[in-house]
Amino acid sequence: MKLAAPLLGLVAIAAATRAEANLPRESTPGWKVPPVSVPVEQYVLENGLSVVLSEDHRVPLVALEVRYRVGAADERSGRSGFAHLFEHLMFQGSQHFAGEYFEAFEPIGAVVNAMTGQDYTTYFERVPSNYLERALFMESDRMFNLLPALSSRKLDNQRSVVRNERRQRYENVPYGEAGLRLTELLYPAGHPYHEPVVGSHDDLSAATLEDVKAFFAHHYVPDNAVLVLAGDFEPASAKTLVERYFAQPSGRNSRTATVTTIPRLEGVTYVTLRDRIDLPRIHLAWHTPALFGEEDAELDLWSTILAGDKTGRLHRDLVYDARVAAAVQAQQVSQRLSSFFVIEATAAAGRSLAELEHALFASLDKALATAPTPDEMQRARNEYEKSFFSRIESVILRASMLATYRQFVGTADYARGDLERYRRASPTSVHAAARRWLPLARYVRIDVVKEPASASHVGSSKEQPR
Amino acid sequence: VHFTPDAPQVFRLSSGFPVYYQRQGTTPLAVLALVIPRGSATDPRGKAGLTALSVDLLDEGAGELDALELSGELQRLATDYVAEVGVDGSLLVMNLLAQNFEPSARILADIVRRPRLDQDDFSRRKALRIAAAVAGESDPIHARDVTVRAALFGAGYGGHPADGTRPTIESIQHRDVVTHLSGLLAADNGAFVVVGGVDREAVRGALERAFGDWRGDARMRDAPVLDAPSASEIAMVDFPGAPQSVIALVQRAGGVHAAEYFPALVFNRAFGEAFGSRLNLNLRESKGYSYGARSSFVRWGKAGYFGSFASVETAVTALSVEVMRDELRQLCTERPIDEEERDQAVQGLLLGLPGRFERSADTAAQLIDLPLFSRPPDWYTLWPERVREVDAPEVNAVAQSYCEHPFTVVVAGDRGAIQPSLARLGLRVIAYDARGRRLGRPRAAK
Repeated sequence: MKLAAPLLGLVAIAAATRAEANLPRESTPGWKVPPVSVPVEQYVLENGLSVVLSEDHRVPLVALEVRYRVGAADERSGRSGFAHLFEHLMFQGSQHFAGEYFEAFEPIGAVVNAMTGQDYTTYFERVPSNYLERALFMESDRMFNLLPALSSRKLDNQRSVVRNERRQRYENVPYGEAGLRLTELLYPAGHPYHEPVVGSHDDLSAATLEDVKAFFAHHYVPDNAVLVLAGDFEPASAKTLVERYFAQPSGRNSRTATVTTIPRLEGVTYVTLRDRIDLPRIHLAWHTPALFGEEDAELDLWSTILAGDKTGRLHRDLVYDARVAAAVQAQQVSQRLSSFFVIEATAAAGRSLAELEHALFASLDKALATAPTPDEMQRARNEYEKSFFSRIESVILRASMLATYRQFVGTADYARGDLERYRRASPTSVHAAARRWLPLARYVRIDVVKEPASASHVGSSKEQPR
Repeated sequence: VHFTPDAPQVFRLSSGFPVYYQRQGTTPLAVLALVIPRGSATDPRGKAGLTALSVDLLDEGAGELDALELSGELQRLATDYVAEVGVDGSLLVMNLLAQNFEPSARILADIVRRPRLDQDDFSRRKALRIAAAVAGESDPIHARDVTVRAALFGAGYGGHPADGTRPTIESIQHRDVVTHLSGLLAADNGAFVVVGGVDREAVRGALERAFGDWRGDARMRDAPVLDAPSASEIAMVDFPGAPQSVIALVQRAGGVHAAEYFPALVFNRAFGEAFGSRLNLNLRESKGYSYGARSSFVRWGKAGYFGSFASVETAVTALSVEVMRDELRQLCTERPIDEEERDQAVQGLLLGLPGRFERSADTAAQLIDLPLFSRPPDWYTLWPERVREVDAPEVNAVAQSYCEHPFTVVVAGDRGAIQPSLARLGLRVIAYDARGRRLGRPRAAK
């Protein structure tokens, strides 16, 4: 999968395009999609920064998102977790604002946060609409003037914070280690997704101030970023402010597009982790097509058909009928280079791993044997269509959705196209995708079983465990 | 930006049952919530979790539909249904499409008025709730919260989590659920909250047809509020090998109607709610002991508590407790909340208000508190003024009441590694296992 397409081939703010991303108005069985539109205006500054504007005056709030096309997948060997550590440093002050980044926002009741994934790092604020300029100034200052404010002391402090985040999110959470091991087992060494986003303690400890400077110079440049405004603003004045704070000359992103094929598993990779838990859990994972790729939407729908509610095929078999599982979940985790599909089943109290395993594979066998019914398809589609409205109701989620479209599809005006993927899917196409991508002879399996936490043990086998 | 939330319209069905209604939004989404002001405080002694299990069972078949048929029908309507039980209330909430309001309301009426309550479904849901309780015993944060409640409120009001614990859920029988629901599910003092892109008259018509003749008196009584602990102590939950300790410093506080309510909002924002508050800046940004530290007031109808919370690296557990204790102590001595902190907290609260009413679901979440806690419809309209009126002396009066003993310190972590240093803090240490059983003498430190 290539990186996002070049941005409209336009330069300069004069070359604005305007589009209305109308949702489809035709009816589907079950309910009619109401005529809601997502206004989208997008253009590119001379320095390469992509700008997306989406007005919505319902509530006096505006969300601003700056999405950098750099994530854990771009880390060099021996520096796992660095993209995320760098994200923390973006909150430690910049040349023209020496304090903590939050200091500028909490007195105005703003919501501020950031997120690092494999494919991108995204920073966002939701502010009262009359504070838009403050948010633009703050984001621009750390985009263009971060390094003068950085120090070894700040790096060391945030290194400690991030290592505690790792402990809090993964190491001190039941089943948490499975989340760290999954990508390592799915993706071979050298693949951009091999390491977990949070990184290892050793690599975090090894990061230097020179690493920070090089990373910033290489990746935190305007032509590697998307700026989205969503909410209550006037476009003309917003554009003036965007130009004032972001139309600055800057270096260019020099990275080359990463093109990888979807990795292929040979047989079963099987690992057992021991944790301080009572209920055994089985994770199964398969490689699947990339975000917005062919059959990505089909696999989303399949995950709902398997475990979206009580009537989901796996849920019904394992939780409702056999009562061997306390919970079962399925998800297509969509990513830029390639995705993965994961199923997670937790045993009911008093039921063994062997019982769970037997029932899970029997149920999967059965589920894969039959195409979805029209009723299953309609119910699964309902969930995705409705979730679209939930996303545009929130200015933060709307900004995030538009940034994702801009980054991965090349245009923010993709709401209709996104919905169409789910509407085009048929029982046949969903069934075919499930059978093609989720073979019961090739997958990664992680079991988590009971053990005192101090005696963590990992075993690996290529043997088919069924 | 000046934002003052509108008061919801309140109208009544022919039975007199109130509906809090607010039209909002340009999307087709709406929320229908039934508020029943009877929650886990009505759980009989020894059967903690009975209200939650009972309410959980309501959608396992109702009216003409069995559990799977009901779930499938909701999916066909694109209606999400969720039931939630807190100390003071039970909420049955539907996130739906405005055009499917009426059929969704019909299903809600079946759930409330014609639940099947089959023995077999009961056994299945009970087993799932036991599994959730067992899973919770593996989670230090869950263990901390259970311990906080027990330490502060004992066997009285607020003393247990709504979901109950493994032994209390195991003790619940099918007949307990049937009896409990007959007293819980009455129109008495309940209310609907409806927010979204749905017409008022359509709401009235649909609810009238589904619930217009719903009446009845509740036969439930809350557990009494017991006396607060009088001495400071440390309750430790042992998680051998844990890389972090999950800490809480807690004290009893008043309920939602406490006189200090608004000054306490301002105090808490400055002390530990915001990222840039004292607690987080110290433990995270200065010392790097934690990913984050926060404080909060938990307020129910009749009581509540104030707490400071953090997960810290095991090696600095006692140091972190000292830092948290010292931050509280400084409020009463050299570092009261100053005018600038008060101003920033007030501004932050006021300017953050629109975000609490952004989406239909956000607004509904706010409005639910009105009938639940018998607050007037214009509560949020007057809220900004009440916050603005809070001055620094009022804020510090609140601070004074939480800066000194008696604290209850709860720590979920590796006992062998942390007990020796905690013992040096001068507080009595009582150790439990993850199931709440008292432990004997400590193991040798590692």
